[in-house]
Amino acid sequence: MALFPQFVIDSLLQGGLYVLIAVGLSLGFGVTRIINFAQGEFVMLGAYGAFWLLTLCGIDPILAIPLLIVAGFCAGWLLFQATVRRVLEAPALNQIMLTFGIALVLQNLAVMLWTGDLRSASPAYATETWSLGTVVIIRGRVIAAGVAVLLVAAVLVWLRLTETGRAVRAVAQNRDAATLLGIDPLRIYALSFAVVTALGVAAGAVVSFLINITPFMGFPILLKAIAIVVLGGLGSLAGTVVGALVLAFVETAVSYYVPEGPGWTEGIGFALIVAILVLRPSGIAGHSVAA
Amino acid sequence: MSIRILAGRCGVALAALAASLLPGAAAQAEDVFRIGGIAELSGKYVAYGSQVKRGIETAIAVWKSVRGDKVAGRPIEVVIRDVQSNNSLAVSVMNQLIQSDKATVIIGPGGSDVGAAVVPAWKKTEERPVWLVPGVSSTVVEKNIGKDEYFFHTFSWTYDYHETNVDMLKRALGPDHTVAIIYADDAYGRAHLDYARKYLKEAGFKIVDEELVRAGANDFMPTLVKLRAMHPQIVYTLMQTDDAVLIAKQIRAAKLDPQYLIGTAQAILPEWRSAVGDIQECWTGVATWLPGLGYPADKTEPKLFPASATWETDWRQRNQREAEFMDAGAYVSTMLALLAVEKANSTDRDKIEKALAEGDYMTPLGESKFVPSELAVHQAFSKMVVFQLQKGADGFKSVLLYPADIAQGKLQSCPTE
Repeated sequence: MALFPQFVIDSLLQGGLYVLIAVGLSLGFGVTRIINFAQGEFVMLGAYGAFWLLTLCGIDPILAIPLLIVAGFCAGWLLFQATVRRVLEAPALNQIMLTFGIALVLQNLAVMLWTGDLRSASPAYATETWSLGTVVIIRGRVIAAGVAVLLVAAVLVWLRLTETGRAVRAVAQNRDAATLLGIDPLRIYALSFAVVTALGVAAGAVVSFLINITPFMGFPILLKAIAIVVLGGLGSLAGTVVGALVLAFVETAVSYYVPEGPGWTEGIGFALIVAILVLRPSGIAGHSVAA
Repeated sequence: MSIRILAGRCGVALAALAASLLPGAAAQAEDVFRIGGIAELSGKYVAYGSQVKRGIETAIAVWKSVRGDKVAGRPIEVVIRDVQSNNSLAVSVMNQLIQSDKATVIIGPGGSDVGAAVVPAWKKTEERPVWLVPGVSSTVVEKNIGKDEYFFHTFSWTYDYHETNVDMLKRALGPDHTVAIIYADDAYGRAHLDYARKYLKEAGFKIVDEELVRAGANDFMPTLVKLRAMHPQIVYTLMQTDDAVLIAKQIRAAKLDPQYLIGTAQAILPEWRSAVGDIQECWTGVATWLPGLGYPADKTEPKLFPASATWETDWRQRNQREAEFMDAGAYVSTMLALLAVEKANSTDRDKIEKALAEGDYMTPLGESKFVPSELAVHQAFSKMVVFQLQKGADGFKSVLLYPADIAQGKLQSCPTE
């Protein structure tokens, strides 16, 4: 029991990190119905962006987030217009191959630009801690969880309280009806893809000081994000948050309380996903659209 | 299967097909001395693979500047293939180097996992070429290679790491200390665990905890929190560079505050040092080579194997960077292969094997004499050094601690918060 408070804190902070990496994928699928296999690479590019801004310009990764969000939004918009819009009506396999292809191109571009060397941003707060009795809280992880909360809140406010956000939800719910109401679905898809890219890049800025940065870091992140989104319910932001927290609590519990537990976390996490999907095929929150 | 692996395999298959369609490819193979390099030029072992590539290319450049473009009257060709740190792709590449490229000698890879993966592909080929490996410490490879006479290991095996590390600790501290071992659940961590435990116990250290971490994980806090309760004086880590970055950061964050932080190879790698920043302080590392060992030049081949200080300067000029341990290993391995071919005056593998086995040079990596290891036939450069990253007035520097006759300083305890 002595480890319990630390277990709860670690689970919550890990959950925050998971929300951060999964929220973009969830929103993207909710609106466009395309699973973006390049989402991990957007996180990778955000991490490199934050790393280089810190290394070359001395800009803290957290302060770099607004700048990276703008860059990610523009890049996402352009990428959508150049590639994704051409497969919107295509079979799902074509969409998967396209986004996989984008991921491969971005990966290899990163290798060419920055080599495969492992890097990590090291602002002081990445290893600084607060101590509450025997409980240690890493500031960097608290910041990551805080950014996750802010981003999810911002996305929810955008979707629920703005005209554009309501248009996004309308297109997600019924594209034909939305078109009849005068909404341009292509513009909404482009906007959503740009926002999703910006979310991925913002997540990258945060993970830049929490995990290692390499051109190949995107794929494991994508896998984890897909697992969380599927667990929570495809396209549901609330489900994604719940799924991230469930997975984080289960994995951390296994690490703390099972002998040699850290070796089992991944396996048990995925076993949980299988179990939940067998019992409730639509995921924890069921299928809903973008909120 | 990921698309990256699929794409890699398709690439290898297409390249193999193209090579087989080229007329006269096999015939040409007999007229040249072809070095096949297996290197991890991308993926998690890129730090090793890029050193293997640099080492081979620099050795060829030095050879050509000293001896001309040929060896034993034959043009020299180099084919270095990227295995992307991917085991299954590495197997395809090994088959390709043997069957399509007709490599006379194979050099590489660097990482233990990749090395272990390609052994069966190499061994199953009856006419397998001579293979020099300037990396790969896993004894799984040594076990699987067995008494094969065409295999030359130019790097230390796992047990050399821990025999050296523990002897240094025993001499510096005495055995009356508590140790906690953290090991990764991959081939590297598990291969090292048994030897670390064996030598620590034999030396009289008290192992108070052994904790497993998942390779590639982003959160080691549960492990470290449990470990903190044991108050170990020495934390002994067994993991590859990527995990070693995060464990170093999280050991600091978890306020573990051990007196000594012991690592294996990570502390010598610039990318590890750069990624962990200031918290590299007091970590020790063990390596086959690092700058400043001060070996003399070889008496018979002073231009190919100059004094290690001269070689380091020359390397810096050629590559615009400091040499690293596997740079030196791949350079020396390539040069030994070239000298063996010249001595044998043939590309026949038995003659090359004999010439390699008989060769004895003083290289920038130390003496090159091949002797049997515990299980394999040809082993050189198993002697290791231990160093510690200590903070000086002008930043961090590697201070040699062991062996005593070339030590530059003493083991220092880690600063506490």
